[in-house]
Amino acid sequence: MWLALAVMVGLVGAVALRVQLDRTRLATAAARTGAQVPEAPQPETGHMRRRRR
Amino acid sequence: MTPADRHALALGGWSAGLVALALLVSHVFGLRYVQAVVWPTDLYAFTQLPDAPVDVALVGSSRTTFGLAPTALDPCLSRASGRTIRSVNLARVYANMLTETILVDDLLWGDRRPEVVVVEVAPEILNARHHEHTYNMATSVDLERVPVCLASVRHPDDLVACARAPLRGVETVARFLSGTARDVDHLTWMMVHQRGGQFCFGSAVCETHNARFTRRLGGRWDARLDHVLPTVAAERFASWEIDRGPHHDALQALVADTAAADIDLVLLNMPVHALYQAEVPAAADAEFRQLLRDLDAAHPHVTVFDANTPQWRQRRAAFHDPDHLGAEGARTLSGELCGVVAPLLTAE
Repeated sequence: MWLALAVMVGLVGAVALRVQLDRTRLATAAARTGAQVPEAPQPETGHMRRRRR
Repeated sequence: MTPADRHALALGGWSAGLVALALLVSHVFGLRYVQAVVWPTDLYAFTQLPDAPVDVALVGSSRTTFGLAPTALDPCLSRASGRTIRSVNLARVYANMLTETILVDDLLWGDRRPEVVVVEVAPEILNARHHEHTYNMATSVDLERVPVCLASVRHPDDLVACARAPLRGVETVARFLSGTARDVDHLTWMMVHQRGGQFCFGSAVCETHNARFTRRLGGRWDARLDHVLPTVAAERFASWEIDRGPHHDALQALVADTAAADIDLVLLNMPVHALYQAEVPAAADAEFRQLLRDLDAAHPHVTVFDANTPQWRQRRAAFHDPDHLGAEGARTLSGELCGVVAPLLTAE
């Protein structure tokens, strides 16, 4: 039981931490909009990334 | 009950609890759109960006992601309304009316409620026998819509797609923590700096991006002529049903919900080239257009913008393939949409 509880707490904690890091990263990037937007990363055309039936 | 039975029961209970927890975590932290195919829009980035108003939401398929550019639309709308207008392109690949309405419900009904929602419509998008039905159900259906999903099952694969709804939490949390879905830097850049879409305007980095992206799409016209156009009639219109089914019901619900929320709804029929239009059965196209006329006449908050005109169909240079616009096409169509949306916005 303790192992299962630890897995659950760890799962929530890991997701929360990762989301918070993403939010910080995105907010920092968004703050640059209108000032000095970096060049776009290499574009992709994801149509072909999914195997069609 | 033997100790082995109790052990099995406990194991099953904890597993069910973990599945339920993953679903809850996925919902609370906005992970729903961390999926195998993120293209054409980084919806996860949209959900995690600091709250900013969305005045105009552009919802549609890949045609919308190529054909509408917020950075072309917003300056025009801002000039017309005398205030800063912020639009966002939230297109999804192979969207149909049900997935479009799920997205509207999911992302735009809280703090980010827009004044105007522009929703792409097309005969394929409203066809109950949508050619990518199984894929759409597998990636979009939530618990609430499992009954709708089950009612539309026509193939064993559809049943599996419906069954993914309760398990999606495990799927998205695993994908999120493993980082496999985050290799979409270009799409994140488009969402964070250009508010989505595939083309942007108004800066040197956008001109560079558009040129690079257009080069990368080179050869797509011929490839689609060879591999997609010959399948359109058989794949997308062999079975045709527009007056009932999940997409018909989703459109009716969208019309009712936007009316109740005092949101203007623009139904946009995107331009396609004459070669693509020739593959759309005339009877299906006529029935689709009649439906749009009826909606326009019956609902004061609904505006139909039919950009699939004979003039657009002849502009070969505006398209990068027979049913997707290129950069200049996107700039022109965004300007035309501005003329439709501007009168709907509240002036300062």
